[in-house]
Amino acid sequence: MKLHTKVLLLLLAAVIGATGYATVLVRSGFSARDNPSAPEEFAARAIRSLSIPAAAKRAANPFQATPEILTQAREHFADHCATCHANNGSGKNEIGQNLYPKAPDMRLPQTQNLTDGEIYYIIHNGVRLTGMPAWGEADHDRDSWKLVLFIRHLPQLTPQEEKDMERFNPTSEIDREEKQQEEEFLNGEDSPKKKQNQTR
Amino acid sequence: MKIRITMLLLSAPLLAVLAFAHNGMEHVMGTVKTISENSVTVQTAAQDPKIITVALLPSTKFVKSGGDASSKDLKVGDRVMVEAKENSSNKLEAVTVTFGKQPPHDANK
Repeated sequence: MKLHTKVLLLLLAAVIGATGYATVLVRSGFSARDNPSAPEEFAARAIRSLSIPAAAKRAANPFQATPEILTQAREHFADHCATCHANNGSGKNEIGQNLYPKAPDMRLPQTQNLTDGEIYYIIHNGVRLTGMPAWGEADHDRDSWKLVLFIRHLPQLTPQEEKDMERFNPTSEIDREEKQQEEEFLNGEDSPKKKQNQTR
Repeated sequence: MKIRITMLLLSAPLLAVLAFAHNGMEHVMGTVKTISENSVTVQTAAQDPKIITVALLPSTKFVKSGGDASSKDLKVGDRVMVEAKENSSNKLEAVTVTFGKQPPHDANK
């Protein structure tokens, strides 16, 4: 068999295989409740890794993990990231677990083994076709470097720190009003009062 | 047109954020009518009061006046706020039971 015939047969087999895989994928639906298959996860991680320039991977964090900076980053994480990643970085909340792919447990080696530069690059540029948006302005992103330090701290996060983060989690005006009514009720007021909306 | 439809489909997860404002939790606020090892019955504080039974699980957290507590601290007549999740049988299971005077908190958050 001639070489070009072998190549053509190989290409044909690859096309048939890819078509079969695509058919199975489409027929099984596109529910975000599913987990990516092992080949899909492998391919996505490989492509993400290849897409990060080598210089960006090697970039050093300009900040040190001082208590002040870790506190700043913790509060920032609670306000901006915990909606999907949860305060402890586990991704175990309603949104994180219903994304496709699910928000990762950032305390585990899959995240902790990334370089500082890789983690920064992912925060700063986001990841296409996932729930991860790009954060920070193009040339002003000190906060994302500080977040890298907090992500490194996640495996050692104390229950006290996790509890304190709840103060910084985003809440709507309705949520705040409801919480106030609940506190007033627990503190002995006769019945929950509807508060006037102060902003409208 | 196809591109627009694709973009619309891909942006759908963002819309899901709006649907989880309460993070899937039911809030039951009222007065404890009965309490057992496995459940607490609450008369709600609404204008049209209802009796709601919530299952207590080993994982249920009890918080009294901002501090850790246990089910033994909870008494009939106590005012409570129960955060609960519905299980697959449509029964409420308590995640957190909060009672007692509340510590002051930062009004900005």
